[in-house]
Amino acid sequence: MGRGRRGSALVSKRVSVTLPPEIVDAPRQLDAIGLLPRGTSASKAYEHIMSVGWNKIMSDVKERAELEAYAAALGEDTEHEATVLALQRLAQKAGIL
Amino acid sequence: MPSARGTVRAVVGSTRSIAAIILTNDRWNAVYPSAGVVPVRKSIQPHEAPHSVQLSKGGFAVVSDLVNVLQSPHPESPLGAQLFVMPPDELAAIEDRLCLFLQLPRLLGPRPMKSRPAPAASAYLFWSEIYFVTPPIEGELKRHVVVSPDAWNAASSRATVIRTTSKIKRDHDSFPAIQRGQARAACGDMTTVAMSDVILDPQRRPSPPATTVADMVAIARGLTITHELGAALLRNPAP
Repeated sequence: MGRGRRGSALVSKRVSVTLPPEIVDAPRQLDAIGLLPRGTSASKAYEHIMSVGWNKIMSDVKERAELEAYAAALGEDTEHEATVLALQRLAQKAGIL
Repeated sequence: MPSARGTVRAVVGSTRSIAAIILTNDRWNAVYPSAGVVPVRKSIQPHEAPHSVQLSKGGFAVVSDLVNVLQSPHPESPLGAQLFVMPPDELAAIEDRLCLFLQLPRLLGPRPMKSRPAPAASAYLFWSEIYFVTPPIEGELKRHVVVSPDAWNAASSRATVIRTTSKIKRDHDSFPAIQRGQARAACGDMTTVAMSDVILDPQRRPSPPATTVADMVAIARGLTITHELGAALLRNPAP
């Protein structure tokens, strides 16, 4: 656990030894799922984790992962928006809305 | 940011509705660009009264005119700023009215209601029948199943419908399979259409022109999830 993962832009050797073991890989994980702006330094990522709280972050991560999995499971529904818009316009024209 | 269920939003560009109550569940609203809303009106017609709830802040929520609309920030969304959050007891009353309007207790009870065969030609839309809505969307006429009761459809010259799709879906809850798996009902897209926008001509009806009671039970289960009507079902058990 003494080194950051190869290729990570966020985890440096100095920071990875500073982080508690359970969140040593956290900056890379947060970066990978887009919860941190690209290029956030490891120290800033660490500050973010400590200020928000690890449990809250993991809750957000879980929620986002679930939503993304759900959206992916639904599949691409390209007809959806066009259909909604067309029916919405009909309802507006008919004075239903 | 997706709309939250139970919030009330202003309606932009409407001469009739003064607000809209978000009724589709938060997960649907987060995944899709649309939301099912119940319009709020200053006044209602006598035939709308059985399907409406008078609100403490003024106006009437008309569940029989539930429509599916694009959410903001879509440029075509009719939803404006959030006005307030519905008090839980009034939201429950709206759920109850919608639950009964859609006949969910009878459909999901121990003995599901039977549909009666629609006449070959009719002046209004029939429950459980499938119709094309015009005009075509992206070159295709879309099939819609009627879920509102016949008496309402006849009195109002409109109907609450759910589009069907033949696209593959893995979300079996919100898109229950109907017609022996040949199609799926997009329950979160339930909306209201005017009879004048539906093709009634029996020669131009889809094939098959109707669903089965089993299909309607599957749709009822889907609506219970997409519009979060489980608590209303418990409050309104089957007769």
